[in-house]
Amino acid sequence: MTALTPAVFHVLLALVAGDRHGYGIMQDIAQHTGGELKMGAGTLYGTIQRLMDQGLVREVESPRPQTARDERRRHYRLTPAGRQALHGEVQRLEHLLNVARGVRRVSGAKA
Amino acid sequence: MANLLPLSLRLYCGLLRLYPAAFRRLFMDDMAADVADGYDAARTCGRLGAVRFLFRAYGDLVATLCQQALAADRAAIAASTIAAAGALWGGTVLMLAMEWPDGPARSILYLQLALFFGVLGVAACVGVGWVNRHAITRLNLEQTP
Repeated sequence: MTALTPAVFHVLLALVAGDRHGYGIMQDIAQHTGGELKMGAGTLYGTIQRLMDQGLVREVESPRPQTARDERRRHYRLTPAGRQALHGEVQRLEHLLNVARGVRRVSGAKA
Repeated sequence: MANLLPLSLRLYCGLLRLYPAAFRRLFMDDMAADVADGYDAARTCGRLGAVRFLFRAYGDLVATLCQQALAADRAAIAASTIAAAGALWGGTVLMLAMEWPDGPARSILYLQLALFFGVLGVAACVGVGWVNRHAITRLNLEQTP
């Protein structure tokens, strides 16, 4: 299983909750990471472009705009393949975390 | 002086035209809107907050412009983008730092400026080296019968 890059992981994670435009994804990422990761627009849309090419994310029709800036914004949705990729990554991280906890328990017992 | 930051934002939107056409068609409007929203939010933390935000935005712009240009095998565009964006942004921040009142904020600006130009210098050296190697390889291939 190939590990997802942090940018890809965070974008997929933000889209699990529902359709989002780019700025919404940025805000979700900042919120999920407690403000530690502030993704720039170039990084975000470069990631979205790759995810769309891979079929993990697709563009959807925009809902009613709330502000003038929203009118030109595109919205994105996670595809079933994207959900599967995210699920795989979460399982991989859980496994790693369990291994790390096991190591810590062993090293803690030795100390 | 008060116009420098909005000017930097407009400059950013202008530099978005340097992305490859396909990327620009899909994402340019969204990027401009996102950066404008981010700038408005950062301004609520004061002028320093806005400067920090613009630093991050320009850093991201230069890095991703290079990625996109290199992906399209346009090394010359990448090199000129680094130079143009770096010079414009560096000049803007230098003016800002010179007129900023004395204090820790001014020192931080100068420190960021020094770091920025240091990184820019290293990136330019690496870029020039890469372009030269690429050009020499291409020349050798063309001259091979």
